[in-house]
Amino acid sequence: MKSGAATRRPTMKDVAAVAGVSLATVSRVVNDVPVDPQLAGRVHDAVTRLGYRRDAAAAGLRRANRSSRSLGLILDDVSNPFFSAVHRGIEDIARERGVLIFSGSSDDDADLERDLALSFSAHGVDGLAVVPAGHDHRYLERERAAGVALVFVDRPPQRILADAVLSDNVGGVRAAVAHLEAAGHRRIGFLGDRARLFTAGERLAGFGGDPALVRMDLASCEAAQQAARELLEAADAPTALICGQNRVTIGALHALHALGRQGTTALVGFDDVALGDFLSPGLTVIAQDPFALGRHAAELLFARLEGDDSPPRRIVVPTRLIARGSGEIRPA
Amino acid sequence: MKDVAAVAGVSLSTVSRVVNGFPPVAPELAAKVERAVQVLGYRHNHTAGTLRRANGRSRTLGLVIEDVSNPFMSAVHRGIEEVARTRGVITFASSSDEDPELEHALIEAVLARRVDGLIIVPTATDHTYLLRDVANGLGLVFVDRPAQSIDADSVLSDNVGGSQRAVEHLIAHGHRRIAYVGPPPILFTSVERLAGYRAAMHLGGEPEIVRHSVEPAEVGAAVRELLALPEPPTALFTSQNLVTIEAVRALHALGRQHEIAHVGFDDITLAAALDPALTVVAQDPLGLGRAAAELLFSRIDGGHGPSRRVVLPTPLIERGSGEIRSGDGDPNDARRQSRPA
Repeated sequence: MKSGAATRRPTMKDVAAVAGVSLATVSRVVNDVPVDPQLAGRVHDAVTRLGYRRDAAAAGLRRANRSSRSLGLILDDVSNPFFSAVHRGIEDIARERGVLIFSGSSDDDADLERDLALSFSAHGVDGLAVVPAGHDHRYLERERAAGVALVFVDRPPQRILADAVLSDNVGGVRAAVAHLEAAGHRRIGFLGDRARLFTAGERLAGFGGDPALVRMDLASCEAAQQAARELLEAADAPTALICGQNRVTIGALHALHALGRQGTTALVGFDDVALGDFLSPGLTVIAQDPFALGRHAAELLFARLEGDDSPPRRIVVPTRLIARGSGEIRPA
Repeated sequence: MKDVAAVAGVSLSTVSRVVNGFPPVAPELAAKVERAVQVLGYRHNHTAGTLRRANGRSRTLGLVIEDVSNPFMSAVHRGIEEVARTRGVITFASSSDEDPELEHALIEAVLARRVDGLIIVPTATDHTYLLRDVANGLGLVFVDRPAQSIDADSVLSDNVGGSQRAVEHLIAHGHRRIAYVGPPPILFTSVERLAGYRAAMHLGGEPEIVRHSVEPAEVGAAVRELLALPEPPTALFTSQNLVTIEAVRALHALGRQHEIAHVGFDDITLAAALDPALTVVAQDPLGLGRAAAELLFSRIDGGHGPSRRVVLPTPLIERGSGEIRSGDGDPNDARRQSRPA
């Protein structure tokens, strides 16, 4: 692997040489330890002239807690709106403390997750926030033993105990079922994402309805559209659908529109969709709060870094049903 | 590292070469070292490695964008990541919230962490404070908006061309009164998009109807004001994604979404599921990110030469709202439409 041309980044030694002072004097000035103002002036001039910058990592190593003031964040995909909102939530808390965030995408691949975690750790992060892709997180035990704080987001860790921040997946779907039953629905279908995913499994558990009306492992919009169509075209079709994920919701919407049933079959989607209020009827959703997931995760990490050694905690962030029309259609 | 060498039965310099990835060692030796690393759980201290590495590179980048959770910006981030990851380079990502002072503080913070390069979606107009860093070997690329005060590489969308084609598309569908609605022309992108609108209207010989200092919260009022004019526009061109969303909301609230043609700059989620589906000028944020990272690495690899400007195309995606003809639902315009073009 290429590592690039050499930098000409000036060192503290260069500053000392240009200022005509000792290295110790430069170090004091750079670290805000008082020195003779005349010497400090010379050091500041040299710093400006050379473009010298303080080294935060070196400064961190001198601190008692050896902090690098950085965190590592591993998401499914940095460009997925749900996960980028988690990122923002973490950033909002980290920023108050002058902590920067390395972030990367695992693409739901356990090997990539591990590579990223170890790379962030090798760069000296104080903590790791992980949306897990893998099913065995024992590789992180060593990092934790070396002082790296851990928190898992959206899905819990596996084969190790660690803090986790999750959405109330079960409760959210239960609320949707109750909402539809209150409108008179007795035959409710459930369309879900890949069953091996923790969130998909939890949402199915919250459904708890007729297994004959469940279709799982719908990994694409097209697969969801097809499955919705089959359910709706069968004799004794469900009068309402619950979709366990965004892509699945959009696929089901396409199926309802294609069949002209968007005004007669009820639909509730898990996770809000931008512009869901413009559809006709408006889309009723179970909304998650990804910003809150991120904020809680960052707060747990900082609590651990500040010495909290209580047993691992699990924070469950509530979901909220937003009624906009599609979930309030009554059975014919 | 000594422990690793002892367990692997190799010299300390071999361990160092394997851990640093350079210079190359025999695969057999590398495998021995890697096994010992696994057994011992040795963790390379990257800071120490950086300080010792002859070229001083840290294999990290700093990225300062408007907001990590903005879909356009997070796609730029993703594009950068796709290139950086092939080189084992990781990225600090931060949000400037369009605040020049915060942007400066974040840039100082990432530079203090010894990044090899910096990619910025700039908010501030003055980046001269980076001149010394660039002279000292820092890679620097501007994305979405060009550098103004400093000579540096930039990667941009074709804002003028995309806007001009959108408005020409509306003219080709029989529209003469086409309104521009967008944020104040302060940011580079807004200035360029307004220029594209003006070029098309000028070429078409049409009078301009410009509402250019409209923040997203004011879009609804602006659209209502425009449609209540004695000679109201028959088509809208909205120059930014948040403005577009609010304009869609306003047209739907007025029940005019099937009469007033509408093209937005920048694609939005669910644009295809709206009724009518929304015609947009699409940007390629992933492509912007990839191109920015490639430029950056070419500089970090020692590429000299004058600064470059890469401009990515902005195709028009026809979905329905931009193909509503002038006069659909309006008898006055229907008569006019029968005129020869």
